[in-house]
Amino acid sequence: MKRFSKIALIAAAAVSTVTFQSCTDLEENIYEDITADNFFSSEGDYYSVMVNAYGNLRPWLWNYYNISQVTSDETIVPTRGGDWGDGGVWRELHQHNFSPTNGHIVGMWNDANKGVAQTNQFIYDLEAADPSIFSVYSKATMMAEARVLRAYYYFQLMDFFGDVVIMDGPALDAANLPERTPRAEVFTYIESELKAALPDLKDSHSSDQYGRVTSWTAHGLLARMYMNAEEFTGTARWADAEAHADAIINSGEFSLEANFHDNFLVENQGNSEGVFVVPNIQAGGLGLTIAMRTLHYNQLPSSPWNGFCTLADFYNSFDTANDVRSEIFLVGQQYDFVTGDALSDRQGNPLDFTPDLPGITGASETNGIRVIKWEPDQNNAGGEAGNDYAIIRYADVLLMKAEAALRQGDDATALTIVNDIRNRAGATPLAAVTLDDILAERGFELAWEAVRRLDLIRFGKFTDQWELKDSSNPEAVYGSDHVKLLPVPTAAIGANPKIVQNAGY
Amino acid sequence: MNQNLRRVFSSAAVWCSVLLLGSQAMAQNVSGSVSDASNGELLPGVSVTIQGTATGTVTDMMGKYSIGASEGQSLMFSLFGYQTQVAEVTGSTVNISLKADRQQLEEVVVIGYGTQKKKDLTGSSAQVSAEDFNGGVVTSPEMLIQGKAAGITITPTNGEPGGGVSVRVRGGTSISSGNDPLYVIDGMPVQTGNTLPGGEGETSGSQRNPLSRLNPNDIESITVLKDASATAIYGARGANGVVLITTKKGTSGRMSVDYNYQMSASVLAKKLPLLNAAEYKQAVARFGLNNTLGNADTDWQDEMFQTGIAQQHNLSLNGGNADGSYRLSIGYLDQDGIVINSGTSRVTSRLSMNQKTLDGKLTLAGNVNVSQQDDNLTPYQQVGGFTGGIFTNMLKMNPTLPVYDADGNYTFVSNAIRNPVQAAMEIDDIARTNSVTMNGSARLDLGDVVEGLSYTTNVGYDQYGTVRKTYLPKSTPYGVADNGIAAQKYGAVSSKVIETFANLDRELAGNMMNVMAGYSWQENNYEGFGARAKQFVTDNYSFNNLDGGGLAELGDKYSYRGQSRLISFFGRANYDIAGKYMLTATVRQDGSSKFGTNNKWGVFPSAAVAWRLSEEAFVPEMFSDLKLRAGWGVVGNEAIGEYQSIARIGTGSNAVIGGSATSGTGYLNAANPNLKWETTASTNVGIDWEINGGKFYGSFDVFQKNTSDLLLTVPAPAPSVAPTMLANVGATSNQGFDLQLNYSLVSTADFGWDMGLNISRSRLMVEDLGTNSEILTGPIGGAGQSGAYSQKLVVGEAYGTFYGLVYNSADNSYSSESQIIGIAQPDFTYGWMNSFRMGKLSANIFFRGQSGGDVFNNTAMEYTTLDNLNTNINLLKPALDFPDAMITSTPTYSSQWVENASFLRLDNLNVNYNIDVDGSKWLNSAVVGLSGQNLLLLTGYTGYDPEVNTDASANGAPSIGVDYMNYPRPRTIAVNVAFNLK
Repeated sequence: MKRFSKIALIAAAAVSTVTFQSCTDLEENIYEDITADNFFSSEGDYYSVMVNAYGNLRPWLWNYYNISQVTSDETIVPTRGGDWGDGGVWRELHQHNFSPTNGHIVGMWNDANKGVAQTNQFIYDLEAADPSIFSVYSKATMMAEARVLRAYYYFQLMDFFGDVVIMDGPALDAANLPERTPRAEVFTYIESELKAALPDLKDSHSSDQYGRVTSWTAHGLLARMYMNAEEFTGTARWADAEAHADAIINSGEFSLEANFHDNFLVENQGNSEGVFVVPNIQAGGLGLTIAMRTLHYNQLPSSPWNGFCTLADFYNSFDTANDVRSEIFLVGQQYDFVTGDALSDRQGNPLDFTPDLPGITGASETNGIRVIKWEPDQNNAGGEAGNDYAIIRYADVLLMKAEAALRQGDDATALTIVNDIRNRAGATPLAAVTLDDILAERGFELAWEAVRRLDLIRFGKFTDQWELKDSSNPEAVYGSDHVKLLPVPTAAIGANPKIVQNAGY
Repeated sequence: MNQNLRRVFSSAAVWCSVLLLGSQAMAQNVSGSVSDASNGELLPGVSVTIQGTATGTVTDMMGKYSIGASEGQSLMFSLFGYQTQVAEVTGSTVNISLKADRQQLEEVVVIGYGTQKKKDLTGSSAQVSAEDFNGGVVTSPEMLIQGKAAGITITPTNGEPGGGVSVRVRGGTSISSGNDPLYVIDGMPVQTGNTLPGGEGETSGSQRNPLSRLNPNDIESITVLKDASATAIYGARGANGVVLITTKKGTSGRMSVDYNYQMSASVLAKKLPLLNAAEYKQAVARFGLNNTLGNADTDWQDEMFQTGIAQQHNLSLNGGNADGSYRLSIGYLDQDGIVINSGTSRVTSRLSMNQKTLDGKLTLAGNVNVSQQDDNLTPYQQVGGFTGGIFTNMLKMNPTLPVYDADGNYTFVSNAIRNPVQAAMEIDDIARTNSVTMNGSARLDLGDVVEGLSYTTNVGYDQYGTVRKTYLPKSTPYGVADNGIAAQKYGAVSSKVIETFANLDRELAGNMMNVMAGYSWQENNYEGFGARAKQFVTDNYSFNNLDGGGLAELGDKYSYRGQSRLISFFGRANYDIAGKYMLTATVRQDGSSKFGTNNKWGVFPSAAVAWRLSEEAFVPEMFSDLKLRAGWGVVGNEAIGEYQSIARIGTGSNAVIGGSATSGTGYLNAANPNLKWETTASTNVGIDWEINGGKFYGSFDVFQKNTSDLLLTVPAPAPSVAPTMLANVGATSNQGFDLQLNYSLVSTADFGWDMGLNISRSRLMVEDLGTNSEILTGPIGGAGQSGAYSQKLVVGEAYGTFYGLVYNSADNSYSSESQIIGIAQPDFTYGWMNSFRMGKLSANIFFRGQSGGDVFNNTAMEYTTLDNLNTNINLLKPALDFPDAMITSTPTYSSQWVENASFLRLDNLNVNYNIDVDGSKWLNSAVVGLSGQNLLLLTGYTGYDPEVNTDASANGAPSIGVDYMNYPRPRTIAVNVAFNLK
């Protein structure tokens, strides 16, 4: 019997010894992800991180777009019964009564900063790459594209928040967080980045790489920056703006589409006006949802959200008799896009869109004119449509040149360009052009393309009163310049106390 | 046959088969009967052993036994609940009567890595044994003790069969890292992660309860370790309490067969006051609206709910001899939900064996548990946009519309308002969960080498996984936009554990000493994969032919895998001085792979003292026990995801390049090498008493828990690759008390009435949120409520505090500023138990309730509005009381919808009758019973049930006290029969 005890003892001791020796290892085994030290080895690895840098543009179509539109005089999201109340975020945007916890503002801040940090880290990783592994993709081109994208994410922050935290290494030093760099210096930094990238950017990509940044994207961004340089830096740069617009115009790569609406078809990829494009397909997270935001529940099988509409004053500024660009508006009785049957609202009454709103709240489900600038996509995937979206469209470049020329006293050039654009739309040509005409023309041509907010700021009209943002609305804020910048999200200041809140908030 | 070989052989045989059961050497045959001293009733199941040997048997159903023993040897008679008696063998008959042992003090209580007598405990714990478990339809282990012990709050997420259950020991400590206790089954820590993969669209809600892999019928007792001095032996997992589940084991004696059957019917306990067709038409007329109305009068609640029938069969065999025993059980449950086309069915089987060998020095034990659960899920949760699931649409549906149109098809309203009967009947959403849990232990008595020394090794493996299959038909509004959505998904977790510890029991000059030291290694793995397809030509494929769908998109398939390891060294010392003063000290060093390289290891100490005043001369004799306890400990919470401390690269943002979806690889997070567990320092002071030999006993504990280094998701300084990061910031505190009283009102031979009452309070307070100024949670549901939250975590306020406008019912106006309008945590929770015994009849009545606390009735807020008439959907009757002017006013979150959640529930009522089976050839005993659950609910709350737990988490902070589109808790009546076969 004793012998058995001893054997058991030895066995037990052996078991415990084995377990003790082999099992104090707490290193994590990673399966579904990777770390930087075992990832970057082939050019495909770098390419896929560059794709991610592009992917960070996609949220632009939600927060950036919504803020740009709804803070302008083109778009309002009225509270319809209970719908679209959403804690007042949409009313705040329209009435410029911005709060630092507004979900769109926080979202926009996060999107842009994430875009900066993701692209910035990629730039450092790509810089360290062995040049000999690149044969299909050019390291220099990818680097240049990444610098343009990073510059664009910085541009978003500079545009909306003014001063910006600039990264001077792959990541921030948590022990020594930086302050925001003043807006004018950020401008100079972005300008130098875009210019530095230009020589290595391609003038065009093969069709299987459509959607990537070209040299014309950089020129377009520079033109847009210089157009607004006075706002950003205090110094106007009209000649520089015109020069970069000219670079695009003279490239021969772009022209006005014969039919205005062809720019916005479901199958609009590769059209002749896309200078900086976010391509879309009918797939989850990869489509355009602007139609969903505006159309009534019963207008598409994907059951749209019945929110966004345009303001009556903006609609009334259009020449609805002649200008094909006014065809983007849906007003009056609505019919099924496919069958042509008359549609009903949720009560069972005719679906009849009316221009006027009773107020920013209390709107019915049929109040407000809807906008279908982008062709409704019957085959959308759960609301995600295939229309590509141009952040910079050639018509915008032309109008930038016209405006820059006019502001430099070259009325003739401005008039020619404006009338080219009006002729394409069937609108009556102008005999002479003023700055007010330019702003109006930009409204007709570029309605709902997220440029209006900056245009109004540049023309000094952003803080004016307008429909449902006027003295009859106690919540409305107007006449004060501070609203040209958004408040920095409360959480961001919590995370970096060196960030000082923008004035007025 | 060589004696040793025979024993080895027999032990091996027992391990392999239940058929071979040992024989034993016979001396003289001694027999007799054992009865209850108080009433002379014969007692079955009394353990009879020859003192000083391992030989023993148990009394049969007639209270008779027979054993081989020699004269001069002593027989020891023991039965739970009775005082153990010893009698010397003087002839061939030994009859004995046992006195009831009201001294529950001798009760053996399970503690981590061992057991202790209740009277020797220094920490705070609660043990509930099978005889006190909740009756009726109980399908998961934790529901057995709901309300039964002070300080433990058990709330099913809802009334869905097989749904999740929230267990909070003393109200939790954490904000983001989970407040679930650690579960240990027969000494083996098990995983409790939900493996149900997400659904598609509106089916994406729903949770399963992984613990339901263990059949409640197989459980002997459940012990909950509450304070840190008790849980510190589990170190980094001890902060939220430890639930120790002990399963039933075989008892020595001839094989006994138990069978029980239960059939139950569940119904909706309460209906919401929706308008009927006439009322709806009247309301439309009142406002002169032009709504399209039908001619039907449909009660959509009646259409959606049914009487849910459930059946359960449980069969178990057990037996053994002096050296070993076995128990095998098989259980089958088939339960329909109270919502049409929902329910669950389950088969469980458990085998447990133990065998002594090497002259009783080596004890081998093992358990195997397998289960298979099939769930028929229903899309009840409000997810997937404003279109919503079946309850949303049940509330919305216009009562003038019929379920079926003139052609016999489901009535179509629009793609946004969806016939809920069609959704419940035509959406296919099923899940199958398989589980296997195995553990084995070997305990070697080394008393020959060192007096009082033993050495135990436990090895365990636990695995469960769920396959979910979903199809949203194109013929329904749920699938029409995508022409049908089909998916099959799998998620699984597994865990390997090796634990080994030595135990030393020693008497030193009349004082008892116990020292235990050990090592533990645990590896947890999780993995899963899934695929989805859309754009089907036909609905006939359902989810069985994903290839029948259109071209795959990015995100239509996925897989994942992760792993973590926890390695620990632990030790405990108990020192008992003269039975008067008890000292306990424990320490555990835990290393977790989840944490940063700078903080992989942590030390969790505890110390506790107890003073048994009842042993002192100055304490009156009537106190059979009076004990003061004080304990302190530091415990941790490591319940965070893996890989959070390492900078990782993985699936990033996708883009469209060249017209194709192109997947991007991105930077997932920033490194945090300092990441570590949450730390809770906890102090507990308590008193236990017992008066008049158990007529009145109880305990009272007060506690204070301070948790620091909270694992919170905080905004990362921008720019950062992710907007938020996990960091150790913030603190909470929690203080409260547990009171447990037990009183025996009447105890005669014919009639007994015992009463138990427990009252507890805890209050989790937010003390620090790091750089967050506040954390918003409890997102408000309903159209137009995006970005609106009902609760805010604010430093200095209670967790679950509601912030909103104050409603003035006089003029339907609101305050201008948001302020505190409620606190979800109750002031007190209580349970009140009454057990009666009258001859062959026994009954117990159990009430449970809470006092104070608020619940946000999000459902009422969304549907108590006249504005619904404008969109031709239904509303709740109270809305008709609003003035005409409010026809366009929209749901506003305010104090109007934050209601008092106090309630008193007749939670459980059981009546059992022991049928006289004397003279039966087959039966030892037969019991028939009737039970009811949730029979009566007294509350001012206007929703289905104030005790709700809708998952409304946001910003890493789970909300509490939100009621929104939840599966209502049923009222259930069950009949049971139980037989013990000869």
